[in-house]
Amino acid sequence: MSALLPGDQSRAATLFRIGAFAVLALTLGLLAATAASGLDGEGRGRLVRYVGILIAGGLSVAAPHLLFPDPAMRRLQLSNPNSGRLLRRQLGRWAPVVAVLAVPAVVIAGAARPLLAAEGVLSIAALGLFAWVRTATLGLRVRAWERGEKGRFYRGLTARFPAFKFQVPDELVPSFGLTAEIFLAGGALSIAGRAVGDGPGTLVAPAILLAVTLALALRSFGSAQDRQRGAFDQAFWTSNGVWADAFQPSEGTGEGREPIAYDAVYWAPRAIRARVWAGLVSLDRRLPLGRLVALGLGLVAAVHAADAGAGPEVASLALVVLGVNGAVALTATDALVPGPLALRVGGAWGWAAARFLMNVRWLPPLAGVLALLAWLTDGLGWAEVWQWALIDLAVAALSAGLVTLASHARLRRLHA
Amino acid sequence: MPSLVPSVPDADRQPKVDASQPLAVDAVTKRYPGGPSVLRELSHTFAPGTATGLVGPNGSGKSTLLRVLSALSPPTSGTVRYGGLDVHRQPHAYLASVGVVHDRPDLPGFLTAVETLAWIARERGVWDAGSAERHAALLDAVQLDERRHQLTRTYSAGMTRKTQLAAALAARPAVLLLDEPFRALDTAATEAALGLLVAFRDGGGLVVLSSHRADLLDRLCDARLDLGAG
Repeated sequence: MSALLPGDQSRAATLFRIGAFAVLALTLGLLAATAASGLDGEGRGRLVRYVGILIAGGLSVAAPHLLFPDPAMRRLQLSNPNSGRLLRRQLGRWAPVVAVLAVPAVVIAGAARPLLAAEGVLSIAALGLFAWVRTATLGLRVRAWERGEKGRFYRGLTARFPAFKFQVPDELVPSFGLTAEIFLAGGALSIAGRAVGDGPGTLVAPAILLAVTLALALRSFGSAQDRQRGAFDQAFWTSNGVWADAFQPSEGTGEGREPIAYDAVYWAPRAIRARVWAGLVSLDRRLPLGRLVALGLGLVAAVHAADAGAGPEVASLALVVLGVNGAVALTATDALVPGPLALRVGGAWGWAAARFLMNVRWLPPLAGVLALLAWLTDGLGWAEVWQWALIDLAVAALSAGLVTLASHARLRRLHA
Repeated sequence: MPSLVPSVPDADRQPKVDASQPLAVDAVTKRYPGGPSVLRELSHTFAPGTATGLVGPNGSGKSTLLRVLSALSPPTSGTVRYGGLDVHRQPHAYLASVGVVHDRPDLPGFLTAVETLAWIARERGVWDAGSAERHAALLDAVQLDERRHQLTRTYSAGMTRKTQLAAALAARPAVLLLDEPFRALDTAATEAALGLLVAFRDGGGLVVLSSHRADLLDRLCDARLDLGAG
């Protein structure tokens, strides 16, 4: 990998990446331990499968955003690696994500239940591989839709019944299909695991998905003939191109949603309002954060409504609070806020305050859902609603401060 | 001085297409998701030994066409062929013959310019005994001074552009695709870059470029493709 992209050889960058994955693994492990506390063997089995569904939901939305466009696309074009090396690069970026996502299953199962841990790890590995294969070839499917080679049924249906039409251009419909495929695969694994109960039989379903996915991968770009033909390089460059086009900053005009109006950010102090507004618009265009927050709040509501116990309830809330407030780290990337601009426009305090306000916009929906749960269920008291609102504010401030600190330290080193 | 013009080296891991082949754009339409068409049914043949300037107002599709030609963006419909290759079906095979200067630079920041060129040549399997000398001549030609031995992340915009130009030529391509190659270059460096591109073209290379410097396009280009006309 190092020879492929020497620009990544900075020791600081490598350590940062390893550190970020370690922190993520630790956080997920702690959340999993909290959720599993007090559960018996059966409860832990149930929790591993619920977490599997949750991860499937997250992967189904996040996989294309994590893989495309490759941040080093232009550098890769300079060295022009062959299919095998492109394959290794993409798998090298994807494998740590899957490895980190397998941590909760191991923690929940604990040392006393190796079979449950194996089921969880195998399920996440199979799901991760499935998500990668389907996402890696997404560009080819989008292109087939674009050219009218696929999607005739959808077009015919929506011509007759416009209400069935998604609010995105037709060629992006396969990305919805991808979301559904990954989520359904995760759901199927959980249902199969639950149906089998325990014993080695629980490994059958994930093993089948793994085998089918491997066969799919080999059929798509694994055979010697395909490598010769360069099948993966076509998938790689096409998928990168399709996603770069979808986020093309200068000439792409397609956008499903209206961006937040400047005046709608009236609640931000005038001195940092422009930064808060630009950050929110950029974040919303980079990530479907609204959908992810809705997914997270749905999970919180489901866990509380099912009266799943203190562990899962606290873990689900902690996951949402950390996820929602962690997304602001994207504003420290050059793609959203170029480094020199970040240094020139205001100091670290201003940026920390702006990032805090970007985070705080999700407090009302969170508090709203919690208030509704406190009103409708017995599992959550009003004191806890206030408690979680304060925790959210504290995490919002902490993440804004840490992101700004790390970002400004990096920028001063680079642009000093 | 070693030749800077395209050639097909013996020890090439990446098989290249015969350099006498044209680059043919056939009925290419490009539309970004949900947006209007940026390019409509564009057909054009770029011949070897020629330089073609893409002209047109802002937003007319010059950068988009260069992205399509460099396999960074697939066309909505139509094909781009180079020799027997469909550029977007076999990008690796095609890119083996191509050097690109993107408007937005992305050089490996922890390598020097010299190391960057060596990395590209080695990665592409065209490194040979004469490569170091040829690369030094390339960096001389773009007038990158002794700072060629410093990390590229410390370079100014002009030095970065010079390194990009040299990097595009490092693997001895047959096709050069250049998006605003003269931007940020001073007068002397602009003249040097122009001389390099003229030599490349005269040696049988195929150049497609966009630039807002009409005077330079006049001196370099055999033809212009006006994307604002249709």
